[in-house]
Amino acid sequence: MELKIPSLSKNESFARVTIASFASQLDPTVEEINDIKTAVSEAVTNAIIHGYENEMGELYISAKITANTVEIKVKDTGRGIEDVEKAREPLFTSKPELERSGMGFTIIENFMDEVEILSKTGSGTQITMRKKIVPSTTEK
Amino acid sequence: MNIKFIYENNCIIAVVDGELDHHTGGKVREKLKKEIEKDLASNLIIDCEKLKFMDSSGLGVILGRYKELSAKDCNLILSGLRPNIKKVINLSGVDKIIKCYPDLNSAKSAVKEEY
Repeated sequence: MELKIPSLSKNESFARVTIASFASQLDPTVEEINDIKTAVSEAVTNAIIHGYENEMGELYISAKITANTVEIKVKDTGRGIEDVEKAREPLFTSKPELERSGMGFTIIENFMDEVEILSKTGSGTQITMRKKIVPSTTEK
Repeated sequence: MNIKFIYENNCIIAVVDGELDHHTGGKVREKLKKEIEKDLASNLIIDCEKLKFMDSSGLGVILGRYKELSAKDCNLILSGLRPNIKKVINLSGVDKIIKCYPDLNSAKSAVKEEY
């Protein structure tokens, strides 16, 4: 599944709900679906605020399912992250003046099983995240 | 996203309803700031019982108000956090600096007794 949407903050909700609906075919628990929603929201918000710095751009979001794992990619072609390791540190934010908590990547890493961040200054950022949905043996 | 204010004793109760993210965060921030600036109470309870979603943008809004209130020697209290929001709050360690109560009534009782 692929989405291409403008980098508008009102699309944050659309993106997380759409990806959560896509992932629901794996029959996740309420907690798992909320984890996915929150992680997608963080990645999309990062692209809007940091990638495009609130200017217009395109967000490319894709999702696929392989066995019991959902893989989600959120990509922008914005300014990129200078120091990915630093950005991954809890509470680090390059925009404290905007009251950013600096918890975005920490939340993504805690709520998903695997996270890869590819970024190049001036070219953009791609976040790939995967979550394994453990099949329930009992009726949900 | 809706926010309604109720004044009770020495408390401003902010009842938030909807989703708190980067898109809605600006509006919520301004409304809370405006109410805090009135200096009408020394406790702010944000009641989250109807708050369905919150991400790190919401954390920023909450931490910002915590700083403002602390500077005035006032208290910020959270109530009625749903499990998905509690997970975000706990992961960030916000629950160690801001008191969280399961519902509005227990938050109000705590304010009466402790503050």
